[in-house]
Amino acid sequence: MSAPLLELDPTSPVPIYQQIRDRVVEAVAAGALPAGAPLPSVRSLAAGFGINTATVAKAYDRLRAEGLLRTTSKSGSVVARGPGDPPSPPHVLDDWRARLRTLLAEGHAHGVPDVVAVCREVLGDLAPPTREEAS
Amino acid sequence: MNHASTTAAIGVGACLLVGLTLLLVPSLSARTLPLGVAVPRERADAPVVRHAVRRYRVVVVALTALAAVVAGLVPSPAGLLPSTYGLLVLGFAAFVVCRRPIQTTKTAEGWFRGVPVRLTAPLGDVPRPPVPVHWYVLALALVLATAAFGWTRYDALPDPYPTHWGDGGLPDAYAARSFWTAFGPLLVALGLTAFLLVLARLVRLAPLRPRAGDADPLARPLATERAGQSLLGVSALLGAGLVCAIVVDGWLHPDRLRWTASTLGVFGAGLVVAVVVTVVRSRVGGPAPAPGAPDAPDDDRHWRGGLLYVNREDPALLVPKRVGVGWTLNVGHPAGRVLTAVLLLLVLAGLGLGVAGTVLGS
Repeated sequence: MSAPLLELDPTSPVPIYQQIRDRVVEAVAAGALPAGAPLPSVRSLAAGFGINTATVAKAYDRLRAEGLLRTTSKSGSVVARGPGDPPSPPHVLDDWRARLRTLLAEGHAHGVPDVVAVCREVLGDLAPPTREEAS
Repeated sequence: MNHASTTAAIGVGACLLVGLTLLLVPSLSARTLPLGVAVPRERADAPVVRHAVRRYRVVVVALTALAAVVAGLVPSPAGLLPSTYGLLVLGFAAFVVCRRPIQTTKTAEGWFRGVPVRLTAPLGDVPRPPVPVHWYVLALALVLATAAFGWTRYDALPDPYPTHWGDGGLPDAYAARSFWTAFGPLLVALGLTAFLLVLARLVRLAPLRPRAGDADPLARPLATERAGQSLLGVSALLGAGLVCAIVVDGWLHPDRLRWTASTLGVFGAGLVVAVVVTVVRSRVGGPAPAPGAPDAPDDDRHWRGGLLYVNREDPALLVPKRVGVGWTLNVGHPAGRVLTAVLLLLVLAGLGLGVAGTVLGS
């Protein structure tokens, strides 16, 4: 399988490290990056984009702190888990829930007619196999 | 053909070669990088872009004609140097001047305002084109075969042996016949082959830098890399061939070189074919992108004059060229600055030696 392409928007107000982190999370959820899949080294990904290594290091730090990335001296950085694995520790899920609350509140505040339908649509786009099996 | 007309032909040929290369420059760039200026896809055919490229081509043709006439009228090695280098320098100047209207209009009209842009990079290893080792093996075989031939001729060589041939292919410097005087240039050919092989391996570490918006973003950078690798390999063989031909010419005709014109003609023709094949092979872009696909961001601030890459943030030492096929040094990288200084010194030293040699020789 060829490596997925990562796209960043340099004109976006969202910081670049956050965009890298977000795109990797989406690739893990979609199964494009299964558990154990290697990620490029910090230097190699920074050189691919022509950006500062510190920016990529910060994104990888975030992913490690969230338990989605594992870095060893032997195999470098690899994806630590997939959507089919047992749920992450409670503190990670609590943090996600808090951010989800803000996001849903935003939708509500903007008058999105059916927030649940939008959530289903987004989950359908991600198409994680385990979720389809569960429903 | 007498000496003067041979030298004139070499000078004119060198000018035409440089002129052709300069003329090909716009065809060697992506559509969204006319004369090295980053523009959105929807502006790639803007009147100011087409006009600037046409103007550059007209100026290059005029400069080439002028340089060829100068080289033809001043048929001495001294004429070869200024006309060829002068053409190269003036060609770059024309490039820098002709691209300016595109930049001015782009900024004034805000071409990138509201245009979605994306930086793209593969999130994993992409298999890179292998180094075409056969060219280097052929170059090595050629040098070894030449050395073996020289071994059989060694005792027949005159002592002292010419170490340099000047105007008209006549020897103008001698040294005692030894392994170094007879076989030294072959070591240079070996060194050149080894250097190009190391370079070919190094460029596989350079990032690919796909441009957003292409249907298959990796197709173009990979095709360009494959073409660039072939050009490096062919250059190794052509370089080795040039040195071997001159060395064998010296062994067979130490009193007066006879093959200079034909050797340089074959070398020049080989170079033209290699460059043209590279141009054709590197222009793989894949199918046209879907309307509304994002563009590559405007990164003109990192490219001085559209040619020199200066980006302190970028950890890459070598990056794909923005104009033409191949790679260029990141002058913003500490090692890139050192290497650029070394290259500049080498060019200046070469020019200085050439001028000194001409002045002393005349």
